[in-house]
Amino acid sequence: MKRILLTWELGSGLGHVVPLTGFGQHLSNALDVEVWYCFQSLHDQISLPFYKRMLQAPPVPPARNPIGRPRGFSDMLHNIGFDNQKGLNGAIRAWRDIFGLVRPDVLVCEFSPLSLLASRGLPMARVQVGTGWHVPPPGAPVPAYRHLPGHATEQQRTRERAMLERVNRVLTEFEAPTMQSLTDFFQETDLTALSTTPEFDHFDRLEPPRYLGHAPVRPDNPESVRWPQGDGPRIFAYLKPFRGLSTLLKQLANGQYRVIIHAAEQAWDTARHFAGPQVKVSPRPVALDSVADGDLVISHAGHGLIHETLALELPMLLLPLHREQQVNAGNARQVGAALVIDCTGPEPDAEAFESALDQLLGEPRFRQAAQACGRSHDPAIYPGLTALSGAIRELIE
Amino acid sequence: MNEQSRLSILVAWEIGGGFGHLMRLRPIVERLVQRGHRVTLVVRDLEKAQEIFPDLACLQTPQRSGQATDYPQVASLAEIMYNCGFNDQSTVQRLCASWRAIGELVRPDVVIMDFSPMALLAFQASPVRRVLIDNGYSHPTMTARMPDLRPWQRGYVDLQAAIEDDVRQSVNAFLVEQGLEPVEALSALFRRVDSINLMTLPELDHTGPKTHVAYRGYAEPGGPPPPWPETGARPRVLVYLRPFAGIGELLSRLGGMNWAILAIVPGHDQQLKARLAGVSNLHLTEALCDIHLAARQADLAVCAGGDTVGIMLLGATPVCVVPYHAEQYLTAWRAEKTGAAVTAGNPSRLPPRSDEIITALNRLISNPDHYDQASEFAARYKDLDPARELTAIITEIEGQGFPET
Repeated sequence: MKRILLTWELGSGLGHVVPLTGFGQHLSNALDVEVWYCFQSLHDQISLPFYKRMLQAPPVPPARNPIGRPRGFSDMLHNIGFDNQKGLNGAIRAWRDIFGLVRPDVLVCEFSPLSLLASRGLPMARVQVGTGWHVPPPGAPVPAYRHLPGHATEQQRTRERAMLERVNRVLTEFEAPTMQSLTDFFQETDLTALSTTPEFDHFDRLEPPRYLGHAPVRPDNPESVRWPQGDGPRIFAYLKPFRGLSTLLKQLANGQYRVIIHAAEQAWDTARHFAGPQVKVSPRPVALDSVADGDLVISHAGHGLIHETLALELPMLLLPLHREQQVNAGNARQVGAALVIDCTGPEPDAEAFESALDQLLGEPRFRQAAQACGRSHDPAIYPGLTALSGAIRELIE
Repeated sequence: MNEQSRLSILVAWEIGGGFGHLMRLRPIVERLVQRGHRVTLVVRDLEKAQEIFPDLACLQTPQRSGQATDYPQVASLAEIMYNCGFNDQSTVQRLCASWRAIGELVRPDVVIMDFSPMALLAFQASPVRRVLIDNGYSHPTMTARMPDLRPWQRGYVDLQAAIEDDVRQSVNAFLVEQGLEPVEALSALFRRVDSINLMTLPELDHTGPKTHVAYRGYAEPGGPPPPWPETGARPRVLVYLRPFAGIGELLSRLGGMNWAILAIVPGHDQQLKARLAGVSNLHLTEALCDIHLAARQADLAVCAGGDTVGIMLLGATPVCVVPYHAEQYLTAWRAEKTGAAVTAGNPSRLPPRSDEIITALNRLISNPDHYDQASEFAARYKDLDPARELTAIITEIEGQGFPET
């Protein structure tokens, strides 16, 4: 029986685990294959049957001189051991040991640069899945992300050249083909299938990959909620701790709105004090179906929630907390369905929140843009799974 | 040995740090490879394992998600297990399933386990030979309750019993699910194996002498001869320590005495090297040497509380033990009872300060009884032959029907 190995090395949370295990399940059902998993975290949200073929991924090697505020994709590579020859060699060897045992016919990588690099030169088909964040387009220096400062400094060019040398040293050691530029190994795969849409890709690309649409991430056992009584605008907010959380909560609790908040992580400690007749606060995930008749969604611009919100045809106030979310937010603003208050820097003031809420609720253009975009974002059935398993069937055959 | 009789051997190491576990496994693994067996390592520290075993496949052990340690000041093996995922039945199920997934790939005939309780549980229902390579810290006494790993302090008996009961319930839930008999005492899990080899000696067994195990002494990994300073000074003092806050001060003070000092300090920095550069009677190095030979040549040793303590005593060398953590303090506690060792510092603040080490060292050298006791200890084990013990371990691993080693 043919074997497929699904790997996940970087990132956190359910956004990686749920689509990838769902995809593995789909492959098991659709094809006559044995699906193996090698994940960086043996997450308690993954159900037990998956563990029967689940391996622990090798640890990502530490950077010798980590970049504190990574600017782009190559900085990310630097920080996962590409500046550390010994660590890089060890990681490649560790992945090759796994390949030696699993002997996959197809390797499917989700945010797994080291496993993808380690597979170079080995007799297996290579597939990349995930969002555009994980898959850089060709180019040296590595092209910048959308909406983020992109000017490559000489320091970055030098770093990339040094990383390429290290990579080629390790490839030579393992008798694998060397590379001309740092991200060649992302380009030379058999299939790159991104779980997003072109508007929500993180890079501008000359040669578009295969876009599969959004892979839904639905939490287990979400809470169905009802809007508070009244006739104010209905706002659903998914909030994590950030500078400005209390300011936003004060604004939301001013009596003008009907608000449902899913306060995640430590945000619950703050948000629960704002609960009242017009504001419901829950530490549990909220079933999005139950807020589908709302007027606005506030979130931190996670890729999945943006797509889910567009599928509900709702406008968004986006509060990105890190760079990936900044790109997602920039894309949502570009399609006209969102306003963005960047929360990666100084604390936003009350006026910023008030003004954004007034605009988003008062100007129909945001909702119209969400409606226009939403029609192509229905996540009820992930449209990419069948296409992807079909493509993998072709690779196997 | 022909191809068909070759064994697939999985070597598991789940808990612990440093090179100690890998170094004691190395001679065993090397001999197994020499004998034509296929060895796969599944280890806690991949980087170190790759360094020690450059030609063997090394995989990462399945790890529980998240890094929280529920009981950082562990007082029993049950608490160590609790911290490693045995606190929760679903975690046990997941980790054991992942171990068995490795088993499906490796298809082992034998599983060798060094401080690997999850692997031990996972392979209970598998048709494999199970061999433990442990010491007294990772292998318990066969008592109703797990032995105390902090005998120098009062424990919270009720809490410890509750923790152990939680762990036992998780273990039993898995055993029953696999169609196996549950264990009445948690320690009984550690007897459900084919061979138990403790790489220590009864006097230095952390939790006291046991009758159900084979004591194998200490592995002899070999290495170059010890590079003593060529001053001819005596006594010869072997210092084998990892860097800690007081290492510079300690070595400077030792260097001020008219002794020949070989200081093996793996991972030391340039600052320490510069500080000791002009000290002719002290040789500072990172490189490991033949530690058994060093034990026979030294007059005194200053070392942490690992296997080196026992190796020194077998070489008739009294030891000043410098424990870095509670496990090593327990070794020191046992070593002191032999009369051939003293312990620096106290368990509430480890590692000890350099002045505490000097005080302990003075206590050691001022009393000739320590030398006498070290000589007696060595005489007691004069017939202990590491090569023969290694052969015995290999025989235990291969089981019946293999050509003699």
